[in-house]
Amino acid sequence: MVSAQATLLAKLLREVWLARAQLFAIAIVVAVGVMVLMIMTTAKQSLTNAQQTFYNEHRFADVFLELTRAPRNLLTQVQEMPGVAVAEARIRSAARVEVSGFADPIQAQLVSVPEQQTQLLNTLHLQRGMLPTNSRQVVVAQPFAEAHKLQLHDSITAILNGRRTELEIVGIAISPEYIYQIGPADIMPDYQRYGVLWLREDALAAALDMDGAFNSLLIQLEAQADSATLKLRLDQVFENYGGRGAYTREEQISHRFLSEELKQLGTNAVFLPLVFLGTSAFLFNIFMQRQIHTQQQIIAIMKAFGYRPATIFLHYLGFSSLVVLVGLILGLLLSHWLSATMVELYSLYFSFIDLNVDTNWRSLAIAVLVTFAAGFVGTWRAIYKAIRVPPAQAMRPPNPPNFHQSRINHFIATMRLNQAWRIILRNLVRHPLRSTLSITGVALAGGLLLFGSYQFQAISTMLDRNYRVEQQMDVIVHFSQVTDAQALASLAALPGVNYVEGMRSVPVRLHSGTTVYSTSVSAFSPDSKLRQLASMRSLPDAGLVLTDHLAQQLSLELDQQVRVEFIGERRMTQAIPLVAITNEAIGVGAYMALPELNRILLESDVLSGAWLLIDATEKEALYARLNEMPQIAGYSHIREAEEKLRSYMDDTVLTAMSIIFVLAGSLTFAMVYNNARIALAERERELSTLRVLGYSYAEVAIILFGELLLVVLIAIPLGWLVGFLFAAGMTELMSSELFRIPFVVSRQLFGLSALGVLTAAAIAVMFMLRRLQRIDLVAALKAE
Amino acid sequence: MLRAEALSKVYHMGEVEIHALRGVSLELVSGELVVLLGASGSGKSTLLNIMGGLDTPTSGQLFYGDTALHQASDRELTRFRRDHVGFVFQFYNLIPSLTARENVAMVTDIARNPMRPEEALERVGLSGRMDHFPAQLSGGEQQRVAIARAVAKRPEILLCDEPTGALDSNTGGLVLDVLQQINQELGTTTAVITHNAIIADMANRVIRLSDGKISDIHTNTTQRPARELQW
Repeated sequence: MVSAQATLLAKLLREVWLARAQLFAIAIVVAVGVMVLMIMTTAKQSLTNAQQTFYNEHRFADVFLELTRAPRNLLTQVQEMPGVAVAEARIRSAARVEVSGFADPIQAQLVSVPEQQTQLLNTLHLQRGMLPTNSRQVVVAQPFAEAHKLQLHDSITAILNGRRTELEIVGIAISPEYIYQIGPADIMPDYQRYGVLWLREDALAAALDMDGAFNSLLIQLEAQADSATLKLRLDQVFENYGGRGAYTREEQISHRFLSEELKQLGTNAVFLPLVFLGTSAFLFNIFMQRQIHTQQQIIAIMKAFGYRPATIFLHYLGFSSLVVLVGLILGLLLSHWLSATMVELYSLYFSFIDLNVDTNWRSLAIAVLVTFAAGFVGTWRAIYKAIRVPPAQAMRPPNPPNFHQSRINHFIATMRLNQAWRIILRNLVRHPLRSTLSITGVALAGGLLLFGSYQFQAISTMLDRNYRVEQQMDVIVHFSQVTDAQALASLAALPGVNYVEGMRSVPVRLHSGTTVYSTSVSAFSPDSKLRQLASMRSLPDAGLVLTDHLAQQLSLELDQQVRVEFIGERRMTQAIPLVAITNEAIGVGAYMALPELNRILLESDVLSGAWLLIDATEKEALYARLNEMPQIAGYSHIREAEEKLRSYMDDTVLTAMSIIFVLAGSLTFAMVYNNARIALAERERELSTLRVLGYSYAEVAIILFGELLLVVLIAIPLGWLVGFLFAAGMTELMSSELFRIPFVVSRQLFGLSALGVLTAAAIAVMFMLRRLQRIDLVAALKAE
Repeated sequence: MLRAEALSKVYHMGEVEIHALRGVSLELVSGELVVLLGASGSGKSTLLNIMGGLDTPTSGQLFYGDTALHQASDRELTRFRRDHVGFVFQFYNLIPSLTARENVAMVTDIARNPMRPEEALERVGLSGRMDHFPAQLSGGEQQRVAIARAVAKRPEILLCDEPTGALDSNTGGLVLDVLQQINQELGTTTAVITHNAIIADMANRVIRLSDGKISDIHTNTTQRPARELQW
């Protein structure tokens, strides 16, 4: 028996070698499925683990509250509220920062750390150095330090309330609160132009006139605490202290970005591997059906010699097992290599204590199980039928494939077609399952292509709209406090400034029924040349404009009165009609005409900031002057941010698109190539006959590839549909307060998807043409 | 009509050289029915394949009229087969996905002066089974469809490679009868290869091959009707 096994193994290996190209194509599909599954689950596992560790070890708060100013003794009241485990008060402020050698404006978030006791919540993880021991010392966020190559004992300048303070860096740290560090108006992290700095509380209190007061509250909840009730109580308590509304982790920027990313990874980890492993099972099935068809007599002989069906089954299962094994190993190797790269990539955008590559062993087990199951299922059906045939019957030459009169065949007969297309159509119809699956497989690949390229086009469209149409200013300037409109004149006089427009931003709470939403109203002139609202010609002179996403969340409709609670320096509540809805892609905002806002707030012509158009060649001189002006809290160069974003996009798009092309291309190739191989094997005799009857090489090729062409042609529009639906689904899924990807599917995307599928199919056909040319006419005719 | 001079064919099978034909010269006369008789390995199939433009000789010459087939390109050979030659094979080689009528149409679609597929099928006595698929026909019927397919384009030459090899005696007789009728009614030059000596009785001429050479050419004074042949 041992030698019998060895003989069977030799047979298996030789036959695998003969069909190596075809089997390798299947192995690639398996490998891609395993690779994607492992990369996605590993990344998800790694990020989740790192997140949990960081949150737990550094006590990430559960509830947050920003306010204008409250006395410290209110903290005791908070600590006694039901559900509160730990409460900590601190001071937070936006500021400008200067790093020597870097000319562009830098926005920073300054956060206080207690002087006496240790931090209770959102504790810092010091990577180097120590916490500040005096008011001239600062801890900087690690990505910011890295972006500017800052070392311990280097100094940086913070400009707070118009006062320049030189600070010595004594520590470099990360915080669970800033795992994802992004500027308030940014779409992408920009570590050079946005940073987080931690100072001693007395330093910030002095600069911001906050002695004995705080403006930021962190709370850790007790287990099973009711955060909704707590939020309400907090809002009540802090209403008179400029409370901006308590919020939970779900609304915390860093946490939300990370959660979105994890959700996305989870979706991808199921969907993509399913497509690839499902396809591989199908490819196995058609391969094994063919293999067993040609070996029917061999199986009969083996049975006649007394081999048990189980032995024969195991022998043929060897084909798929071998391929699955190769695919699995290849996929694991690729994923092992790429997971590290992927996790490394994540560490560029998310700052964790330590982000390790945590292989998800459970998904490895799933990958092994699913791939072998795919091979088994694909093989089982084909072998089962063959083993059941009695040996004597199997040894007879097979009857012609059973085509018979059916409605569809009759219909094909009545169609005005030449015989070649009749052959093609009848063969398609004869294997409805195989044809359907082939079409589905290719359609999925086409859908993947469309969907993949859609994401980039959508983001690019979003950037175009935001930067080219809606925000046309070069520089945004924020004043330290509300300023008379005459300030514009002094800005206009600065070097390089070509044009100036004033604007005002006021924090508000919008009420609709029981829903409250904290945001700010941006006000500017209805004649503004620098700011357009999406889908609107101009800002109405009176009334409120809301982003569609916000209007939806507040269930507000046009012409309804919105209760607007102004929570800035001047506090009042006013009902203002909703006069228009804009579909801006980035952020959620409320807009009003500047004169109207000032009228409501009973103020004269005042501003909180300005927009500038500048001459880029004079920007250094301009920055130097802006830095000297105490009335300017901060400014940012929006054009530069755009350029940076776009160059990042260009790099990423190229890489990501190539990966998508390889994935979708390999799927299409494997599908078309396998189908072509099977078709050629099944019809070698038929095609040879036609050649002998005088059909030219090209005419015969049409019959062989016509079926594939038809599959591809049906699959292309289906792929469009699949991709379109994926794209719509993703747009819906990704739509958040941060941004809404516009749903724009251009004609180019349809073209690209079709082109990708056709190219992969053409490559597969080229491989097959060589084989077709090599058919030995005479030998094929002799074969039974 | 078809003239072969000193045809040789050498196959290289790995390191072994097989001399399938060793200098065969023969001529097919217009309208005659020739039986090429020989044992397995005598070279008769190789000769038929070369005469039908399926293969090229290693040396020697082959002319169809004035056309030199021994140096024709693949494209020219395809053209020759398409326009002038009809083939009948031992295993019928019908297209399983096409009905009898459509199988014949497969050839008439590309021929210059074909008969209607229905007419061809009537000639072989299958007018009642035109819309049947190969799987629904007996072996003899399948072979008759193959003959209809071969003659429908009105070829000058009809080449049949063991046409009764897979059939029993009765059915085989019926098939040969069809071939004989076609030869007589249409005047198609017909060559039938067989190892069955009895079939030789229906021919005008019998050419015996052994070991790649012609060993004997014999002209029948009278042809026996194929229906009477029994084996």
